[in-house]
Amino acid sequence: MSQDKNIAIAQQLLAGIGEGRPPETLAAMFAEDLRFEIQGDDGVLPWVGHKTGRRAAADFFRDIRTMTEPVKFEVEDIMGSTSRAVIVGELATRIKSSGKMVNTQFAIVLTISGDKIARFQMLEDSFYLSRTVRG
Amino acid sequence: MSSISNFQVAKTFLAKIGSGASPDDVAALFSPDLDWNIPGDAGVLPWVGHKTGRWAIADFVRDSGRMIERISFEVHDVLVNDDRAVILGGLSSRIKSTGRIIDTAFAIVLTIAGSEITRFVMLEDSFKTSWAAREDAL
Repeated sequence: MSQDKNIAIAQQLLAGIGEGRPPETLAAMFAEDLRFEIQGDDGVLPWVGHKTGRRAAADFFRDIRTMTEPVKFEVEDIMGSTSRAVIVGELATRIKSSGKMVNTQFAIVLTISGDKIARFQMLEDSFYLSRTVRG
Repeated sequence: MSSISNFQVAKTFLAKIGSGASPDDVAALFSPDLDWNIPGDAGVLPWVGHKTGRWAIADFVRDSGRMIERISFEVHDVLVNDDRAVILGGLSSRIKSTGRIIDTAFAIVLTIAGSEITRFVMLEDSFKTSWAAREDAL
């Protein structure tokens, strides 16, 4: 079943992030022409906005380690369809430069083509994130 | 509850919203002690924020019909398992009071027990929503 395969890819991505794998190793799970979309206050953090290319994923995994300190990352559920996997949960992270904390529910939507992630979308409380970082 | 019936609950919810069903008719799909959350600039629109009770969905249907003009509402996927249904899509709406347009991807996460929706979480671009709805936004 492709939905089981898509859930497995999501689990593999989460495991790789949890184990602190190198950004390039994680980025290899993504298509070269990846569509990377974290909608919100574009540029408030380097990864917020719409980008194209696998490099966006590598930059994201590198920059979150440099700029934020994970406090909580709770996965409530991982669900699959024939073309996607969705990870839903709640996270708390501290912005290192200001010490401020962002606490938000999230949905990470992976659109999968073959065995690569072709589109990465992260939905979160973009208002709260912007206010906290700019505050 | 099985994933097949959770798929049906999500489809019924979308069909009712799409056909302009009455607020009470839509609310009948939800548990009386519904846990409602649209994270964002709480109160910028009446339905944004965390609320408890079935009235939250009835108010949402009533208030959104009055305050926004639906330009598009596209469902791209519905994912289900034994506990949840997630509706993924994109929407575009005009806030009548400001004339500004919200254009956002969304994920609606429905937690389902029995045949009732017990928790409703909608993630969207809450930054954009706040900007579009605030009279004093630049």
